[in-house]
Amino acid sequence: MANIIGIDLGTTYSAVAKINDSGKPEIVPDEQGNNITPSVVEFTGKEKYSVGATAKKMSEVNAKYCVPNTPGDEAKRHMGSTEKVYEIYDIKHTPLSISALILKKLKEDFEKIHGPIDTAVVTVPANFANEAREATAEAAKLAGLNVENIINEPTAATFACSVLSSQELSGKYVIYDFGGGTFDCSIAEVQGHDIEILTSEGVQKLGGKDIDLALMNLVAKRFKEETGKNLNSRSYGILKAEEDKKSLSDRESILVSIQSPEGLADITITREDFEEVISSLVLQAEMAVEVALERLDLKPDQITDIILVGGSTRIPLVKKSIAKIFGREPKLLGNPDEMVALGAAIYAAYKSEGNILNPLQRQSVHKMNIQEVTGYCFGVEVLDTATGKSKNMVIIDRNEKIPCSITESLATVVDNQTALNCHVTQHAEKEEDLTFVRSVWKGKLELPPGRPQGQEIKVTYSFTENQTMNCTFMDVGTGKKTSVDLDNLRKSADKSTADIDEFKVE
Amino acid sequence: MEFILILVAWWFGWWIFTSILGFGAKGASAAYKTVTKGGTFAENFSNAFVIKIERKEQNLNVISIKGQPSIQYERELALYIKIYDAEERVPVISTFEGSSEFESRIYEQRLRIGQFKAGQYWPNWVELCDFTDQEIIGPKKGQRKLLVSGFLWDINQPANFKYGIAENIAGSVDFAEIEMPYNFINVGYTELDQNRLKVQGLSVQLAIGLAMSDGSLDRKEGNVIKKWMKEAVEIAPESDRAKVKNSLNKALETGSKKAKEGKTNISNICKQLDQKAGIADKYDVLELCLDVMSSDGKADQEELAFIEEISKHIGIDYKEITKLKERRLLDLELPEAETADVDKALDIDPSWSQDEKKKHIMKLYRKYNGRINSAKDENQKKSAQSMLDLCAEAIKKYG
Repeated sequence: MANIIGIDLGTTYSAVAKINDSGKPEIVPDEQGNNITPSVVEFTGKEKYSVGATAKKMSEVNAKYCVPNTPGDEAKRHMGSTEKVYEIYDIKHTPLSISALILKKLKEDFEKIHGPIDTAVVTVPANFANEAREATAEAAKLAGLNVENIINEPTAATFACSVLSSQELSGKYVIYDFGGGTFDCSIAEVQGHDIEILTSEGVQKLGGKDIDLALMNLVAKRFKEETGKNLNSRSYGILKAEEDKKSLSDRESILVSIQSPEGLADITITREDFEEVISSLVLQAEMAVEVALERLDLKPDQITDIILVGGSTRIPLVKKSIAKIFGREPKLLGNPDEMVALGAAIYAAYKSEGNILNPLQRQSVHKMNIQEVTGYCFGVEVLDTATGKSKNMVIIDRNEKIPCSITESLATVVDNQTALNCHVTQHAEKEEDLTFVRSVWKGKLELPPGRPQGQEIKVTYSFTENQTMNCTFMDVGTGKKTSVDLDNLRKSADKSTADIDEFKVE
Repeated sequence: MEFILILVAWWFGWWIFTSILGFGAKGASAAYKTVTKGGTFAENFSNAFVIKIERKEQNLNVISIKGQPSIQYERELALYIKIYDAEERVPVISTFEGSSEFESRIYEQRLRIGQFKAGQYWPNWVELCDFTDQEIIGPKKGQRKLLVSGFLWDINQPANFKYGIAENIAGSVDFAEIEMPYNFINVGYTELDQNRLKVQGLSVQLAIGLAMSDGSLDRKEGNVIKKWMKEAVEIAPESDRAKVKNSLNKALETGSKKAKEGKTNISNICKQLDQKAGIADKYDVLELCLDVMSSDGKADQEELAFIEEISKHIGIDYKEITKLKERRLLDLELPEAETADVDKALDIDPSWSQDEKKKHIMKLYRKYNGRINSAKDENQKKSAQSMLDLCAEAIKKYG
C-alpha cells in the first residue's frame, strides 16, 4: 500500500501523519514514540547530528552546537534568507539545510516502520513569501522526499476539520493558528468538503517561543529584584520557561525555585503577571484577526466557528482574546498540535494520482474541493509621470481567487523608447514605494526605434492552481513579447542543487 | 544668474515667434474660413484655438482648451503646456520631474492629443491638466502676472523644449496663451541664490541642534554634517568658496554653542528657513537631519520628535516626511516598545478620538506587518517588527 504522508514542519515542533488504509489521516509517532518531534538539531561532530527530543534537551546545556541556539533563532523563522547562517564546528549551516536535516529525520523515523514514502506534502505558514516556500520545497527535496505540493498550514487544518469533525462543517470559519513560531489567521467558507479560503493574515515572528521568552525575561527581572544579580539563562532557560508556561495554563500561580551560582530565590509568578508580559504578543494576534475580518468586511458574529490550531491556543489569555473578538468561546474541533499534519496528509491523498490510492482512500478524498486565494500582491515597476519617479503598480491584488489572469495596459513614456524594463515585484500590502517590495524577476523587452511615446504595452500576470505565476509583457504595436514562468525559475534552480553540502556556506 | 540672463535674451526672440504663430496663424485661418465657408472674419476668429486657466480649489489651477486649431491636413498632435512669469519674461520652474522639460526643471506638461483632422475642433472647454501652487517656482515670490501657453505640435516633429524655448519649430501647429494675476507661494529662484548662504547656515544649525539633542555630539553625526558642509562648499563658485566655508563653520559653532546650552530655537530657525528657503532646500535640510539621525544606527525619541517639529514648522507635506523617514528607519534600531512614547513613535495625534487613534494604529499595523513579509533583509524585518511591537503597545493604550 502506498505511503502518502503530510508533514507539519513546525518552528518548534514537527509532526507526520499518513493516510491509513481506510482513508483516514492518522499521526505517526517518531522513533521515541512522540506524536510531535522538536524541530531542534544538535551537532555532535562535523558530520554527526541528532534531531528531536534529545537534541532539544541538549540545547539548554550545549546551545552553541544546536539550532536554534538562542530562543527566536529557529531555522524556520529564517527560511528563504540568504544572510542567515549557523556556524557549528566551523561549518556554516543555512536555515534550508537545517530544515532538510529535520525533514530527513522525520522521513527516516517513518520509513523504519512503514517503509518508503511515496508522496508527501509539507506545510508552510500562510504568510510565507515565495523564497521561504521555495526554500521549504528545496529542503524537502534535499531530505529525499518526493514533495509535489506545499500547502498553507491553516488550509491543511481546515482540511483536517472537514474530514474529522463529527458534524458536517457549514459556514464561515476562522482558522486561528497560534503555533510555536508564527501566527496565522485564515478565514474559509466551508460546505462539507468544499473549502474556499477567503483570506489569510499572519504575523511572521509571533509564537509560543516568544511567549516562553517573555516568561523567561520576567523571571530574570524578578530574580534581579530579589538578589540584585543577573540570572544566567543556564539557570532558568527557555525549556524551563516552556514548562512553566504550560503550568500557568492550568494553575493560577507557580513557584519558580532558582538555585543558581548567582543566588537562590523562590519566585512566585501569577497568571496575571504572566498575562501582563505576554499581552502585547496576544494583541498582535488579535490585530491580525481584526485585519482578516476587515479585509472581507465581515463582522465577528458572521463567523460560524473558530478552528484552533497550534499549542499556544491552550494559553488562557489567548482563549480570552478569541472570546473578546468573537463574543464566544472557541470550540475544540481536534488536537491543535496535530491538525496541520493530519490535513496535510489528506491534501497529499487529494493531490495523488488515483492509482496509488485504494478504493477507500479514493472515496475519502474524491469529494474534496479546494479554492485558494493569492496571499500576496504582485506588481510591476512603472514610471509615475506626475513625479517622474519609478513606483510600484499592483497587477494581481492580494486575495484574488486562484487561478486568475489579469491584464493591465501601460504605455511607453518617451519618444523613441527602444527598450522596456520588466520588473516583477511581490509584496504583502499595496505598496507604491519600491523600497518596500521584493524583486521577483527583472527582464527586458526590446522595442522598435522611431515611435512616439504612448505605445501600448500589455502586462499580463497569470496565477495557476499550483501557485505558479506567468508574467508576460507585450508590445501591442508589434506583438513582440517577453514572458517568464516564475515556477520554472525555481525548477531550473532545482536542477543545479542535488547535495545538502551545497547549501552550507563556507 | 548667467542662466537667467540667457533666458531673458532668448525670450524676446521667442515672444516674436509665438506672436506670429498665435495671432498670425489664427488670423490666416479665420480669413481662409471666411472666404471658403462663409461667416464673418470675427465669427471665425472667435472659434480659434484658445486656452484658459481656472482656480478650481484653494490650491489647484486647472488648464483647459477649446476651439479649432489651425490645421490644414490630418496630423498626429501633442500639446505642450508652458508657464512663464509675464513680468520678467522668464519661464517658471517645476518642483516635480514629471512636469518638467527632459533636461531641466523648467515647467512643461506634454500631452498626447492623437490624430487630428483639418476642421476638427473642441466645441467646449476640455480640462487637460492642472498644477498646484506648490508645484511651480517663479523668479520671485509673491503677487505676479502669469502667462500660460499651449503649443500644439506635430508629434512626429517634436519641439524639444530647452529652457522654455523650442529647439525644433518645424512641427509647430498652433498656439494659444493667457495671462492672469498669480501669487507665487514658493520663494523665487532668483531669490534663492541670494538667500542660499543664509539657508545653508540655518540648515547646519538645525542639524547640529538635532545631533546634540541627546546632550552630546556623536562622531558619526558630526561627520555627516561635515560631509554636507563640504559638498556645499564644493558646489559654490570658486570665488565664493572661502566665504561659504567661513559662513558654514560659523553656523556650526553657533549651533553647537546653543545646543550645549539647550537653547536651540527650532521654531525661530524654521521660521527663517520658511521665509528664505525653496522647497528643494527644505527637503534638503530634512534629508540632512534624517541622515544625522540614522548615522549612529539608532532612532532616538528626541531625534524623531526634533525632526517632526522641523517638518511641521517648514510646512512640508507630512506624508512626504513619513516616506523619507520610513526609508531611514529601515536600517535603524527603534526604541523599545515597552519604554517608548508610542504616540510620538507612531505619529498619533493626542487630539484624535479613540476611534481615529485605533484606525491609525491598525493602518500602521497592516503596513508594517506586510513589510515584514516582504522585507528584503534581516534589518528591514527587524525594523518592521519593532514597529509592530509599538503598534501592540499603542493598541494596549487605546484599543
